[in-house]
Amino acid sequence: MQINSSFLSGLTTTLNSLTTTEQDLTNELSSGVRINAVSDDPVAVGENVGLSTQLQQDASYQAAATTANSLLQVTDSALGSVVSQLTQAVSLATQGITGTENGGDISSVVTEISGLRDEVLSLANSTFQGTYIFAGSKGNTPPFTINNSTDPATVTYHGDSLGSTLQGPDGSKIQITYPGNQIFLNSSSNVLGTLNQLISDLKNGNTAGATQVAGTLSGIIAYVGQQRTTESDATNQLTDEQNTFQEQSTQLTVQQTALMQADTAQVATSLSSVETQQSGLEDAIAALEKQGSLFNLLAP
Amino acid sequence: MATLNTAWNISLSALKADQSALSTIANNTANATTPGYTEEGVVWQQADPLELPGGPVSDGVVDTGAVSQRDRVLNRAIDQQTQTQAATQARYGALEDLESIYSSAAGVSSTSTAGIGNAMSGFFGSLQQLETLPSNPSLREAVLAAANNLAQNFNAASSNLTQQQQTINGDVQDIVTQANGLLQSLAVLDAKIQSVAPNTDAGVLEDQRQQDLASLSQLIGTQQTTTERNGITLSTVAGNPLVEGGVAATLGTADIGGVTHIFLGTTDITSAVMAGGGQAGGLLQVASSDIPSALASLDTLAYQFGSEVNAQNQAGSDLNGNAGTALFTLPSSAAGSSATIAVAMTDPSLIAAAASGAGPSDGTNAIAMAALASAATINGATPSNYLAAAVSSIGSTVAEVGATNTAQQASLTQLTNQQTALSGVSLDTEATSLANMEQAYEAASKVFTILDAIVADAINLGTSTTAT
Repeated sequence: MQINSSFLSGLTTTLNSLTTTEQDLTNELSSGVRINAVSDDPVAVGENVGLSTQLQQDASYQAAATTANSLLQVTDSALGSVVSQLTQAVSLATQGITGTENGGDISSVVTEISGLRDEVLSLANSTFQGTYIFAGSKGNTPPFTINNSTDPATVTYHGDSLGSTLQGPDGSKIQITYPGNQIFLNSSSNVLGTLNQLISDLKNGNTAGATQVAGTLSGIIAYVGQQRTTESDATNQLTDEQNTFQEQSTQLTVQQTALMQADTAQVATSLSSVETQQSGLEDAIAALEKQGSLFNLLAP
Repeated sequence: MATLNTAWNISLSALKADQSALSTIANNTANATTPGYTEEGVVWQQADPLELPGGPVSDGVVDTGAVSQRDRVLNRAIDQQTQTQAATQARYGALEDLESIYSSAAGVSSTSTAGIGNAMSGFFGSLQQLETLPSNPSLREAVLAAANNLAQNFNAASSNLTQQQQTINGDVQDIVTQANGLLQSLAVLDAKIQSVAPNTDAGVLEDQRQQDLASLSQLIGTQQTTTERNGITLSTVAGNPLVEGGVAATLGTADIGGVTHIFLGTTDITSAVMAGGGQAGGLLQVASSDIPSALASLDTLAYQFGSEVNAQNQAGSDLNGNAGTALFTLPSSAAGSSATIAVAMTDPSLIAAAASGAGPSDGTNAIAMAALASAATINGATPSNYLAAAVSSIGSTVAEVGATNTAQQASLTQLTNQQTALSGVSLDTEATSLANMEQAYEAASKVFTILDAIVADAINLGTSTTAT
């Protein structure tokens, strides 16, 4: 049996497949990813779909949590202001009551406390990016309106008792808004009702009533402070969640890198050995071509 | 008794045989790189001895003509292996195209907007944002934009798959046209071979027939049977005749359910062609099995995902306090869902973020919709896991077919090497034969010259003269 006379074309085929390998390796080096097509490692690509999804979920949660955090900060500063307004109201009322006993003018105190009440009312109608934060689920309309024609003036709540929550990809729930009726019109600690009563009593010269109401107001300050603590607990919880997901993202990224990233040293080594093989083969082909056949040796 | 004339005849026969051999060598050398050429070997026979008084006398050499160095069994094995390998290679090529639709799944960037997986994450992410401020118009707009992006990604993937199927249909039609030409040519050649060389190798004609069979094997899978008088019949693996008794059948095509089917007269021979191999077999398998199954898994995902989201949106209240409506438009069943899924609303206020009856800034239903991301609702898997499994499954098929292709290619190369070793022209061998024949011719002519001198001597009765 004679040897296969077309071995040169066989060598060329090998050379072509080496060039393909070389291209694949170069792709891996330039992209940094060891997988050029799904079929390179179907299992890893499948896992990567899951990892990418989790990473995107975490990123979405981070963004949502940042918004929720700002929302909670607005709530916190509103409640903080409410506390300081109320404190001021109590001290003004005490001054007013003492002043009246000494024959002073009560009307300026009434005006000042009314101003503070309006301030608290406007804080109760606080918005965040266009949404009334103390309106329960009815954040599109101002939750509190006041009717000054009655004595004492009456405040009506137009919202409802629903608080909104943010749910994490792990199912964890954090309350991010608090319905206004719970904070400002609570039956045992009615912020706005008590303020209106105080104004009415002062205006009508009912100092005994005013003194009692001012005492109630001090208790209400403590109640609002408590609400503020609940809210700031939520903020802390949110920050904890954010940190947890941040950590998880970092871990997922490490996993994804380990799964998908090309081992640069290994790829470079493979590339270099492929190049060596390629140049060896090219030399062999050149040498064989130069050698030709026995015809070259025949005398003419 | 042998005479000087006998010797003269012998050297004459040697010169003739040498010339014939030289012409065969020249022809082999000339066709060294001709595709399909089979090396011809010189066959010499001792001439029958003459029975003369005084004993038998040799009568030189006879050249019985060049014979092609052909192994029909080996050639048939190559044709078979070519059919198998061509089918796998065609399928592999088509599957690689198919796989590229899912290549974004191999990306590591979490910010990329390409691909169904990312679009789905984007949609659920936008709902997560909406939880914080459910009545915020720009967050609602973002949900609709993400829903549109997702629907478009489904549509694009589906349309890519359908386009590939159409490309393959066109390829199959081209293959059938080429195959018809080859079948005609084979029928003509076969008839010629049967009339010219019913009992011997038909040389060049058989080379051409073998070449046509090799080309046909690339295109479609057939069964070959050798008949009397050196002919062949070709049929599909199911026995439908393609070439028989010097007559070729004509194949036709027709579109059935979006896939090109191959017909022999009115008989649908698609499954026989698919089983037989060749490029047609491989491509038909992709068009009728691989692409439909990829489409079906996309359809299942689009349909079940869309239905779940619709049901959840219908369970809530929109910005105006009305009951939610379907967010996606879907066909009545899964089939075709990925191609037609679209967002049903343009007004972002129709997104039912609130629980039924709750106010516009309630996000309870948005939470429920976002939670669908981790709910095992698509055939018992979460949307992301279902997609991951579909992508993995396609990747595994491609990898498997690729490995099979490599193995089959190696086996084919081995067979082809054997064939080339037997039937190919080796220039070294030809050069050696040429040198041999040159010397043999020189020797024969020398014998002739000497015999000439001897005859001249004989005529001049021992007086040497210069022969002229």
